[in-house]
Amino acid sequence: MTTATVATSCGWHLDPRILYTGSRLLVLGLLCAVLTIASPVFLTTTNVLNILRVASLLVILAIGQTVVILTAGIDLSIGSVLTFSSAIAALALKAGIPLPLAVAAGLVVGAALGFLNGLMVAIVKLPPFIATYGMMWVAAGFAVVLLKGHVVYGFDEDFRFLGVGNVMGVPMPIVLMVAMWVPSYLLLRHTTFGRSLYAVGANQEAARLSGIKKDQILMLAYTLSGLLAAAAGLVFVARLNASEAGMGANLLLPAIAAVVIGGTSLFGGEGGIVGTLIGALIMTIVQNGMNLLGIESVWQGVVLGALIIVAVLVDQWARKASASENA
Amino acid sequence: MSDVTPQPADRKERGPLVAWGRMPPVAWVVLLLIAFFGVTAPGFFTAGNFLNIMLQGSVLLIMSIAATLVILTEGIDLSLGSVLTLAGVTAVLALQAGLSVPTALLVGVLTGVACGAVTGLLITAGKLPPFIATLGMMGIAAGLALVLTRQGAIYSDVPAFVFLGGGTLGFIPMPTVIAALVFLLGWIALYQTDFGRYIISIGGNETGTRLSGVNTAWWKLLTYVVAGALAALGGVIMAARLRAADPIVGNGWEFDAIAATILGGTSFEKGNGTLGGTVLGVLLISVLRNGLNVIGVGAMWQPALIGLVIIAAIVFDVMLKQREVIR
Repeated sequence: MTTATVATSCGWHLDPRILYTGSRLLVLGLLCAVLTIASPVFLTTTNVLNILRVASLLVILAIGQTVVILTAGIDLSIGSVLTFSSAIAALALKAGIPLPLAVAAGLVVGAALGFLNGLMVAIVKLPPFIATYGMMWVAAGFAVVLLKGHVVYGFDEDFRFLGVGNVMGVPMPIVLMVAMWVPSYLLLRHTTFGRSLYAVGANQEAARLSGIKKDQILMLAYTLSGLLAAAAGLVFVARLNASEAGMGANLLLPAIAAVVIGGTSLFGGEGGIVGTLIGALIMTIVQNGMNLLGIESVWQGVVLGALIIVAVLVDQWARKASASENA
Repeated sequence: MSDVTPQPADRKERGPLVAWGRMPPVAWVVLLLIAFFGVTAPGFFTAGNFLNIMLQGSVLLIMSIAATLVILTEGIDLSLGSVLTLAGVTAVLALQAGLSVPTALLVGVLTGVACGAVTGLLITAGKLPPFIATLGMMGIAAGLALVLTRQGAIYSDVPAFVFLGGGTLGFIPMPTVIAALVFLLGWIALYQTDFGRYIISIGGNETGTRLSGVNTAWWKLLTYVVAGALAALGGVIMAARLRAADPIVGNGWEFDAIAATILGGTSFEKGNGTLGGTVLGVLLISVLRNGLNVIGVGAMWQPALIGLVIIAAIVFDVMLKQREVIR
């Protein structure tokens, strides 16, 4: 949370947070403008709602990722945690367990896996990318065991409502996304936990010396990431009406891309979920635009990988530029 | 390698060969596993099966040597698996285009060199954290493999090519011969050349190394190039063995390679580790995988079980080291 201001050459002061967010909004706006001109379908209610619906899954996942990255960590396991915990819920539903219990089971499992990540990072002191990378393969492995290689499909209307329902014309995934984004925003910006999280990310040692329970904060951050991954998984399964072992595999890169495009620093302590929301929208619109312009979906991995790299490069360059201007 | 006496002075005097003489914990685990499978599975203690383990472990050894070199510089390469895939694809495409086997081999390896050069430049000139640069490359290489193969396997059964993967020299499988050569060259490079001295020194203290006049950026770049080339070599051998390049064949290989490196005693911090240790780590994973097959644990359970064992071993190893440090 930088409170310092950037002094520009003309002598007026600007909060860098607004500058960062502003530059991203500009990119988002330009992207929309270009696509509106390039494709007549882009700016239709159906397509806009479609973009928002696709983006909501990404936003839910990326909120958790943001929280972890703010602590200078990373969670590479979100895709597998999503798969595994939603498979638990799916199997529970199929076994006839009531909806609230099944949903709760999925969420608890996700949170538990996240907590394990947190333990490995905070207590065992494994580097975050190793701890969560291990979790990624273990959770993916157990998801295969759990589903026995099958696709579990065909759920009740009640459960499917989470993915395909509407509330006053707004698709449920969007409603759920907002319902998770707002509390997360308040949590990060207006609570002691949020402030401690930024402090731990900015400087672990200083945070510890100033009395912040660093280990607890870290464990909470990873637990939250697991919980949100599970929530995203439930929405995903409800929308697809199916649960299968490979469903989370392609979600990790977009989520990290959304966070870094949104301007959260990989070194921790800087950024937030306003940026992540914009980042996720940019990501989704790029994908949507590729579809509309008829670019084959096989290219998406290439584009995603390149986007992540370019976003971090640009971000570092911008930070360096603003830092030297400050000095 | 968590030795009984971790004094740094002692470590320096011993040198890599003597360190072999002492049994690191991973060696005991390998022996224990061999004993366990030997007793429980009648088919385990056969010459055929040992050749099998060697064959299966060969590509992993080549990959793990790549991972070890990178981790010694305090880096990480998450793109190794995708580079393996992509190199297999380009080599087979070259064969399909009618190029000779040596040329195709060169095309494959150069693919890896190119990927490694890009990640290396991003890390050294672009100052990206290694896990982000290589995560991006993972997306790009995996994506390109899908694009180039049109999402299906591509085949080649040119005899000289197939010999690389399926042939034998005497009774030793060709992949094992190549892996042994790579180990030998890797050992010489690491312990007898400037390259090795500098990357170990970069891992120990990068700033100090740079200030003493070493062009650390160049040696780090070279490390990623070598790692890319080795992963590519692994990919070509794999394609030769399968007589096909599959666009997802390399998924997860980087995890096994990193795991073998860590199990072999190389640590993420301070650039400690030996190539001999990595061989033991590879043996551990290969024996475990083979043994589980022989005693009839289904393929479905294997990723989960192996992932769990690896994570447990890494956690155990790190905790053991921490206790030594405290003492």
